[in-house]
Amino acid sequence: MSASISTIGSGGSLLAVSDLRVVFSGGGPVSRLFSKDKGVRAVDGVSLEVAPSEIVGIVGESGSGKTTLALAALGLTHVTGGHVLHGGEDITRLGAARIRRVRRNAVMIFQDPHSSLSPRMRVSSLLLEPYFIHKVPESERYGVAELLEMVELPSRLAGLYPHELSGGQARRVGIARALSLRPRLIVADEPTTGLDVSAASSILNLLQSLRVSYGTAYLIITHALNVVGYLADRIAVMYLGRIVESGPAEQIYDAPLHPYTRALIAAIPEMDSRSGKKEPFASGEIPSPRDPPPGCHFHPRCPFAEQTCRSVAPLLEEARPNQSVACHRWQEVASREAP
Amino acid sequence: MTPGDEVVLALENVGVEYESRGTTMRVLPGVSLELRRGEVVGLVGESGSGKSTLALAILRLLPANGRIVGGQILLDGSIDLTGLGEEALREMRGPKIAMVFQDPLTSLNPTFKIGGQMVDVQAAHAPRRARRVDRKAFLEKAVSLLGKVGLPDPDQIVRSYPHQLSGGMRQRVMIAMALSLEPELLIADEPTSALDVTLEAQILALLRSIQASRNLTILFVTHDLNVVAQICDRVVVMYAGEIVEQGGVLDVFEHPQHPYSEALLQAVPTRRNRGRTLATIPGQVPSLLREVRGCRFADRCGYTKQCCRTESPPVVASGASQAVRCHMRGPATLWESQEEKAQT
Repeated sequence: MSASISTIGSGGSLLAVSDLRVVFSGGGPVSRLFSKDKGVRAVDGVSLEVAPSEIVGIVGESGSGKTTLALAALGLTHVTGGHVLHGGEDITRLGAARIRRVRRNAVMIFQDPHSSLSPRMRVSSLLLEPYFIHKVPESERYGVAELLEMVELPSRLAGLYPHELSGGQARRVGIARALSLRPRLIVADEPTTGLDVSAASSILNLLQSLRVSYGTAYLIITHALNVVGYLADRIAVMYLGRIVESGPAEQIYDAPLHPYTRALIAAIPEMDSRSGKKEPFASGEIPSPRDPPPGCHFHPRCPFAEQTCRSVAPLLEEARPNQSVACHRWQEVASREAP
Repeated sequence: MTPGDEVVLALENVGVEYESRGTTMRVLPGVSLELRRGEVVGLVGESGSGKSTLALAILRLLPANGRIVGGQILLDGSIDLTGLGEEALREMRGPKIAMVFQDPLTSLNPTFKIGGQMVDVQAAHAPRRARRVDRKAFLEKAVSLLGKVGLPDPDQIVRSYPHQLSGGMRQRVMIAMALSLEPELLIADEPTSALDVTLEAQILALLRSIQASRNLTILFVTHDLNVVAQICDRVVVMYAGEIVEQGGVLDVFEHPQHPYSEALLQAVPTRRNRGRTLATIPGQVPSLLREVRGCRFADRCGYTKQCCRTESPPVVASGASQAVRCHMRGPATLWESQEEKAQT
């Protein structure tokens, strides 16, 4: 490991991702040889850090690469380039056994709880399974009842099978499984999607309170801006595999600099602002990541686009303290009234 | 556009039962609701509240194990939909009431081009004699409708198969198809739930502008309160098969009268309640296998009193424009508080 890399993760961050690239190539070796298909750049040069007990939200629409980023951050998908450091250790260079050790400290909560829980195991076995996988000594284990209590589930659920649980309960079992290893980082993919309002709010309360009591850090992947607006300390906005803007949550909401962020925020239906919105919505839809537009990926939908945007990809630059944006024209954008 | 007083659809005490493995579940005990011409009404509730069942019951599209038991569904004040046969119902579905479903991919036939499907819808409802000649005119209408719902290059779209379009485009096609027979009432069941935020905003803006230009009545079924705030004039809150509160959107959102609506509104995460603990509603929706005594929300309510467990709450007018089903707001509140005073 070179010195320059180890310094990235040395600022006390739990997770440091630098210049991460994940490319999915289509077809077999022959078609790859003869076709011009360069593959899908799901993640295209993303850098990101998560500090202890920090909540970082990654927002983006479908196809933005946010889930791939989450998987790559835990070594759950192949990485084409760049580094993923957990406590200074680059997991892109580790073998399976040592990655597994890293995953004791950094765990994932998957989007669909029912498909991530084995239908043939009872809740009690599901909760203890991580201990067998990681060969955790008895003395460091939580009991089933303890785990259920942590996620505010009644202990009578221990004997049930996943199909007997409601969506919110299954989600909590997924969280309890994640907590069983006392991780320092939880990566949660769409933690509230598909849940009813009251079930979603109790999951969000739970995530908050776990941070308070255990100092857990979260990387929250979601398309729901109101969720990250409520929960996250820092937000990174992704569009077609790249981070287009990142910064403290309040700043991103109150003074977004990237036209895409502004469009996203303008698009949030909010209960207390029924009056007409000034900002025009982003027209059109997110293009296919297989064939992204040249230059700035957002230019076909951007009201500010000009000639440069069509040919030159903007780099992330620090526009304000802690707030970075990848836009050629952020100064003009910033001079407009916030959405 | 302000909604008039003309009632387009009136549900009177509509009950729905589902039969499953020999047991009968009364999903809707008896719902009454009026939709006036030109208004957008949001029907909100969590899963299991019966909102989709109600929407399907209006169009008589309940699954085979469901049936309407009692009540009337009056269209235009005269036609009772509950009493119509299949043939007569078909005359209603489309020309009078159209529906847009959550998942456009399952509503569109994957083996036919968009144009053909849109022509078929119109042809099926054309007067019998005209059926043969008008396919060309129908296709022209389809193209113009696809343009009106904001699809670029509609000539190309009619020649595409559903899988060649994106989710947002398919939902626009569904809306165009629903409008092709010029219905008076559009029922939209979670039309934006599967879409990304920027697309959702586009579809909501589209529905609003169509509504205004045609004075269409829209029943918008959703679990998303933010969406209701964005598009609806009036909101109807359902819980366990009953309407617990209804009223103007701003009134209900600012001064919810029912404890359930209140909790629901406080449970929505926004950036404004950052750092605060969100309200949650403990417990579960009551099982409908048994007869529910008293108020259906009593077990989960923070204000439950003795009478809530024994007597069904009355529906009373409350607040600025609201009607609420709750003992707290009803006359029972008075004697309850007097009783409590007498005890102390």
